[in-house]
Amino acid sequence: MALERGIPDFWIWLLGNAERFNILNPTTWGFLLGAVVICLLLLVIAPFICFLVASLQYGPSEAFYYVARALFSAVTEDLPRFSPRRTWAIARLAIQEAIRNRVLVGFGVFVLLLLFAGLFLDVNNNNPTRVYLSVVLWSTNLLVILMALFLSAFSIPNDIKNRTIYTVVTKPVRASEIVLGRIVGFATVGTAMLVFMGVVSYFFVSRSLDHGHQVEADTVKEEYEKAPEGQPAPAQRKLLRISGETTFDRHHRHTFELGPDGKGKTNVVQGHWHEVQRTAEGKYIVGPPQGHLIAKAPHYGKLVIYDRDGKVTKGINVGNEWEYRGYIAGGTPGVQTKAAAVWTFSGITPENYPPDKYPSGLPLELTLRVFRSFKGQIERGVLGEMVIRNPNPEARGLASGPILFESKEFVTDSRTIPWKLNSERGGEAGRGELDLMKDLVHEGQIEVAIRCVDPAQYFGVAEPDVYLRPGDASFEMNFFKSYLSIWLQMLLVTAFGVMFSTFLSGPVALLASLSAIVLGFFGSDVRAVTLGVLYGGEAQGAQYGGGPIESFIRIIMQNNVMTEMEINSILSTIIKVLDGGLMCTLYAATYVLPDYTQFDTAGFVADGYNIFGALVAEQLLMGLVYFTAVTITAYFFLKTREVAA
Amino acid sequence: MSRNKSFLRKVCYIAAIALLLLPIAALSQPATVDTNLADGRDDSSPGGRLSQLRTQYNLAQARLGEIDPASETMKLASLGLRGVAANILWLQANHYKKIEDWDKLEATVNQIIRLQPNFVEVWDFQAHNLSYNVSVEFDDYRMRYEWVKKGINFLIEGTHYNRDEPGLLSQLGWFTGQKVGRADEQVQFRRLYAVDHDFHDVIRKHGINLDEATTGLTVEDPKTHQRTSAIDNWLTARLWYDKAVDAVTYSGKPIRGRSPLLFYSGAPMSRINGSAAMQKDGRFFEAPRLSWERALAEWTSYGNRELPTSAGFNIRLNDQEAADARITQAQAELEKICGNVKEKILAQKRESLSAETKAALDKPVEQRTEAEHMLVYNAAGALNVAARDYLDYAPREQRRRVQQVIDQIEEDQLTSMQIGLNRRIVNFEYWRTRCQAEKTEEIQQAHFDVYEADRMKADVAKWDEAKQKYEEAWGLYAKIFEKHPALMINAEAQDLVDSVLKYRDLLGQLDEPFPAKFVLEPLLKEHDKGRQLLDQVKVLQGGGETRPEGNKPADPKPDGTPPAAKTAPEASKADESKAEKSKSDEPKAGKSADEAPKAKTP
Repeated sequence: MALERGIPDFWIWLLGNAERFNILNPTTWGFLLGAVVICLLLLVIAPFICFLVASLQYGPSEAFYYVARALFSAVTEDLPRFSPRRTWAIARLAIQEAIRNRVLVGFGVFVLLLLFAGLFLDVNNNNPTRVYLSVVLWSTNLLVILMALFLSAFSIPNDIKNRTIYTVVTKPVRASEIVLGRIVGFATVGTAMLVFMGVVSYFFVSRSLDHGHQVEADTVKEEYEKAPEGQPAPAQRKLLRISGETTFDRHHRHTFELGPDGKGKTNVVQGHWHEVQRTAEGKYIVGPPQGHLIAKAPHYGKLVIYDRDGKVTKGINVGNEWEYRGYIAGGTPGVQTKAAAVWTFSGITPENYPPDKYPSGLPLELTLRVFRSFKGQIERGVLGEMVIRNPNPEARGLASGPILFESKEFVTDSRTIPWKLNSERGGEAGRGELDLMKDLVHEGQIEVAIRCVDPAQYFGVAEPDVYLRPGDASFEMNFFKSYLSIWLQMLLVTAFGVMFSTFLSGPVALLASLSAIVLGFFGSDVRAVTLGVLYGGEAQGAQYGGGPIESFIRIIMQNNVMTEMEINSILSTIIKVLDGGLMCTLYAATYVLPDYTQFDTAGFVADGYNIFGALVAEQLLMGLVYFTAVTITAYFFLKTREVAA
Repeated sequence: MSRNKSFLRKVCYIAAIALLLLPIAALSQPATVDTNLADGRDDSSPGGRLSQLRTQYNLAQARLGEIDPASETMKLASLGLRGVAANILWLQANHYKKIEDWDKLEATVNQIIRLQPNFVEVWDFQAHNLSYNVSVEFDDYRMRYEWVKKGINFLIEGTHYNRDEPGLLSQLGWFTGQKVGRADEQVQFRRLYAVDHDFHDVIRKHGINLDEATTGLTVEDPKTHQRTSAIDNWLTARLWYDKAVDAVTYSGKPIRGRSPLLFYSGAPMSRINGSAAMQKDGRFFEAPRLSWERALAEWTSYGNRELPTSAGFNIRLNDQEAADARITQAQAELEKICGNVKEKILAQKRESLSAETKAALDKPVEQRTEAEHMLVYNAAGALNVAARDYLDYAPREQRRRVQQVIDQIEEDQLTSMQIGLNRRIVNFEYWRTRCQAEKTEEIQQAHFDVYEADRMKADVAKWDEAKQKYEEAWGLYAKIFEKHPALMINAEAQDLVDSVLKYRDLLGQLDEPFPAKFVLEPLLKEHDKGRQLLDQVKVLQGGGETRPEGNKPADPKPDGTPPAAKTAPEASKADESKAEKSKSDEPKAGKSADEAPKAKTP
């Protein structure tokens, strides 16, 4: 699985990377500092804007008093008198309102979607599990967000329009309770929907992927022990193994191999395998599919790439547009090239990797890429070698002999680093042998160096490509975590919807919430466009044609994007300034609004990887911060709104 | 009163709706299939007007039960924004290709064609994308083969939505033939294809009778270890091309994407390629001879097919000799009638040239300057004695006949020129000659000898035998090339040049010189590598060295001459020998344990 954002580290995300920190570059600040700065700015800017707006109506001194009183009463009156009981009452009303608004239609749509999903989903795919999981998670996400959007955006405006809000505001209910009650109520409905959808999705996926095979009798071959040369075959030959093929079902078939006891398993096709057993009567039983609903919990290391001269580098670009991987050149290691990719793993201790649980050694998995600069030997993969090293600089040279391997692209290559390794130098295990834990692990760290042996061929590497796999997490728990991410998205959409609805009409609140969602999902693309407009002609990816106002004028006047506008130069300057302001606002908005792509964990579940705990923590914290900020903002908007007007 | 009016209005509406249902039913009634009634009556119906039009234009979903609900639902659900949805999916597909997410790419491509099932170029483009672009991203040849198959499967699915579409059927022939049989991994792909029964079943289900595509051999299936009948990809390609031709002939669909000349050449070329592949796989004599005979028959048949030209008339590729014969005959008649006036006409034309041009023409070729060469070149057209020039010299009473002969000559010349042009596009004469030559015993023996020699060269104990085989083969080839010199010129002869290089290496191993007068020197002169070899031999023998460099290890330098003092030809020779050494390893490396055993003779 490609982790383009890198392996998440909660503390670096929260506090920023100390090595790259630059006070002038907000993208290096970390979430905490960024959130504090934005909140402080909002605390200054928002009251100032309120003051300006109120000044127009009441004059400056009255406006100042108005704003100050609102702030003061929030802290001295509303906060201490906040009542969870009243909030829950409002929430119950919101739930009833949601049900009355036929939110349950969403359930129906979802069930309908699943019923017909089989027509759309292509099981003739190398990995149908991914397809199914992606579809159910994506459709759940979309439906829940849409539901939250419509419910939250229209709730308060409808109450105002129908004047039912008077029955609420005339009661001793605070604005904070109204806002929070609505959010909690709609979130409760959303949660119920999510739970239902999650359960249905899980069973849908499990059942859809469930299938069976038979064994094709004419493909079964029994292999017996051969008599020694020159000797006659014994009367009772020993059965060594049984091999054969299954039937062709669901666009695939497996080959299998059974041991002398008649038990074994098939090969992995389309991401799964089956257990096969031969009964005493000679019949073959193929079990259900296994290994497709998994949640790998990799133990990642830190990668450093060295070029052919031994210098640290990002790796060679072999011409791919996607620069996720760097490539290392092949050649006789140490003679033709010093290029290597070295992973340093921490936490290698007998407690984490007890030998009785891992009798063969450390379980390692590789997902390398290969680039051939010439065909070479087509019949085999490109050769590489792996060397296990002690990371202690004083123990340089304490390394295993090279472990040769043949590369496998686009499949997971599972290997084991044995506890006893060969080495000319020798170590604790005796001459010619090293003990992995005692000789090669230093303060819980170990290095795995991978080199390409075939000259003029290349290995493509990225940090998550090589990892230890101590064990798997529970798929069901992983599934739950992805639904938690969806739930957080739903919560934020609800909060934003309610916030916008406190001062906008229903349709406008809907539009504003939708814009917030769009900016949240496509923030990076929007930033690229705004920067292109702001630095047009200078930056890579410059946008010609200017911002929205200039583009509109160009369309009306049918000017092409490369020439100057055929209008007065002063007017042109004013337009460019306005556009610049709009673009800056949009650019800032993409950082202020939540980045919904950070909540997207469907890829983990679909690809069979456990969602990092750090990622869940990041999402929870982001959700909490945004939720709090938006709720407080909504409270102030509702509090200062003249409902009767 | 108003209640009555309201009631009446409702009745009128209902009546109008009922009346409208009649034309709607007539238009949209679906077609039904024959239910095989007991009394033998055919109870199928063509359906309403829309259904009849669908059948007429062979659009998808002509009959109930063939409707693709996913495709129809997606088209409806896009609410008129089908184009926008398709654009988004195309962008997504490109994104997944960029980040090497092949599963999602495949899934997205399948969604695209659900939105645009009758847009034939989509099938074309994405099938090519899968088979040619995505497949090469994989290192393992087995995975490459799987993705080549995915592209072919994609095209097969396209033919289901666009029945009798010649372009797609022809592309199937191209993919099955060229991608499987000409790729760098052709040995591996052909081996995998031969025993890929699941894929063969898919092809059979689409109306291709693969019994006509068997090679006649049985090979061991590496998965089941059982011997099974091998299917040839080229012969399968031929069947797809035949289906494409049938679609044009019987369904009247236009040929899309290529000219008729190339379109109709697909089937016979597949047969030819299949025959050549047989020999590469190590089969000689009877089976390939028969195959070449069939290939010749099909090539002749292709040559007899009427093909349109850009000149506005049709031609047959086989007609050139007849046209040329008619021209010669007519020319003779012309000269008989008008007398021997050719020289006179030529002299007259020469007179009309400028003095400089005449002077240039009079000069010997080697003494002409560049400008004079240009003048001579430009004058060539003016000095051409055309048939029409004879008209002025025709006797008065024979003028009419001369005019007729001239018209006939000009027409035949145009025809001959067009045929020549089109022949060159498909290399018609070469393949005809090749088919004729390949079905002889002589050439089969020569191929077999070279094949055996190449194989024996890998075994030190058989070097002498290999040398003998090579020399026997060269003798046979020399006779063949004397009869059919065109066979030397084509790129297909490159394999033979490579074998000559292997022979040279073998001689080097045996410490024997390369023959100064090599019997296949004319062949070597036609190819770059051959010319290099001849130059090397000339230099070696001219320099007095009798031992070819071959695989000889680099000699020590007794006089301490630094490497830079080596002359360029020697340095390049050393590089050449290294390259040739690695090339000589290739056949060995290409043979793997699980490769199907090659039949030597049928």
